[in-house]
Amino acid sequence: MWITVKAKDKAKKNPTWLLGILLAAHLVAISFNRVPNNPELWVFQKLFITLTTPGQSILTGAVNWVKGGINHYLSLKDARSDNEVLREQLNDRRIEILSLKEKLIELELGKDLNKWKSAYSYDGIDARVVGRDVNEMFGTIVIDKGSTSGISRNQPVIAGGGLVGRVIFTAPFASRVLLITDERHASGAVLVQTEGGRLIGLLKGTDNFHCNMQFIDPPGKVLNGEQVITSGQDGIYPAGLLLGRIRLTNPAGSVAPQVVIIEPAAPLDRLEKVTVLNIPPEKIRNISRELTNEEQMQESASDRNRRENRR
Amino acid sequence: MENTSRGTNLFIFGCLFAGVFLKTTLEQLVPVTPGIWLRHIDWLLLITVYIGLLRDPVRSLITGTVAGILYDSFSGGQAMGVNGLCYILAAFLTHRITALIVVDNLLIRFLAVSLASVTCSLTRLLFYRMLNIDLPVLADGGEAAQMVVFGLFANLIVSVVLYLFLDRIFKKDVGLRMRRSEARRRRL
Repeated sequence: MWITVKAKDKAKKNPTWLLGILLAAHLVAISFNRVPNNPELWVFQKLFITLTTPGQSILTGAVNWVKGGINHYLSLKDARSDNEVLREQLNDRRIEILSLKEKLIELELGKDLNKWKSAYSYDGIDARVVGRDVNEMFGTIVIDKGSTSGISRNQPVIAGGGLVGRVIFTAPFASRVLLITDERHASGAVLVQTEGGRLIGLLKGTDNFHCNMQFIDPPGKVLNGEQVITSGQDGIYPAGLLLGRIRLTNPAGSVAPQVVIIEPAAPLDRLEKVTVLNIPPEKIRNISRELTNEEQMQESASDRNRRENRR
Repeated sequence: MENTSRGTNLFIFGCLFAGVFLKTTLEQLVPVTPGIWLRHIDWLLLITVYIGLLRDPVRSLITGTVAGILYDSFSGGQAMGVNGLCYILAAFLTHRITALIVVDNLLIRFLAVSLASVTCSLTRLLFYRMLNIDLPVLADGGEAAQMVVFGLFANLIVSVVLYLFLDRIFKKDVGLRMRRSEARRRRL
């Protein structure tokens, strides 16, 4: 026994000293969170995530199986399966339209289309969602594929045609994904207007199954249901991944307010399967650098034009 | 005696694991609206408080430690040790309540759960702030208060049903607890 009988009796009579020891041990553990140059102190997480993922996977599978069976018999059998197929097709068409739009813009900007690649055309690793974060303040999920399957940190994760988030932690047989609705998540976003314009902004999670789009530039008119995609300038996500759609209280549309609510395109509340896009982080960083350089060049060109106009 | 104690320890460990699985696996399968409410239930805290109510301080403090390790391991937040500290404080607080108040009824359970829930939430928020974890809930006092209150009510409501269930599992310990409180009452 790891606590002797004598010590146990002493602790039962006066548990304050045991409390003191445990508090001190925890404070030491907490102080390790702030150790500089060593952010990878998630030893327990790696161990637990590896040990528990098979159990969670079996349990999730069993619950999904029972849930699916009940739903199948309760609802119209054929209508349900048809609906699933149609939904998948719809997602594919949406992605296709989005990719074509992006291609068209690249073409309008006079870029070399041979170099251009759709964000959805990268290889994907399919994974099953086995768990959520135990802490209600953090929006993360656990998937049943890890570093042995080729998953590495910061890889984008998609589901149902929309962005789910990015991998923040990998163990050999499981990984943790930070959802786009987590309050710690932020990414560059582009609002694709129905009229054809594009507004740049920042997408932030709100931890309430929704996201906010902030700092919209230039302030233009936005309509309900307009799509928001990744800008690719954050160096994490490739450009063109569908983030979500605008949800306005005024259906007629309005001039973009300071904060716009975005409904994620991926079904984050009922995630079962996801796809991890196998994009090397260096590649995204290079694309991001190119985009930033282009933007700087465009800015300097417009400055020059303005100066010339003044003259 | 030794076997009974080992059996109880195994039961506690099983309950803690069940609590974690309930939180991480089952909640995601529930539709959105009830799912948002379910998120505020702290199953591990409720189990820790229940063990504290069994009037064995050593076991309740150890349960708090194990619950904290489990919580931190299943959480994506970079704050190892914070939740263990919260649960230990909750366990100690429950021990103090059971040491001061001899009777055991629903009101005492409510009092223990309320104090433990509020202490746990506030300690957690305080340490997250100290560790500079970027959470908007820490910047907004209203949101933080809302989280504490939601957590308190969710835990109180669930504790009624959960403790009835746990009473059935820990039958022997409930008898022991009753005998202990009776003996203490007579001594007084």
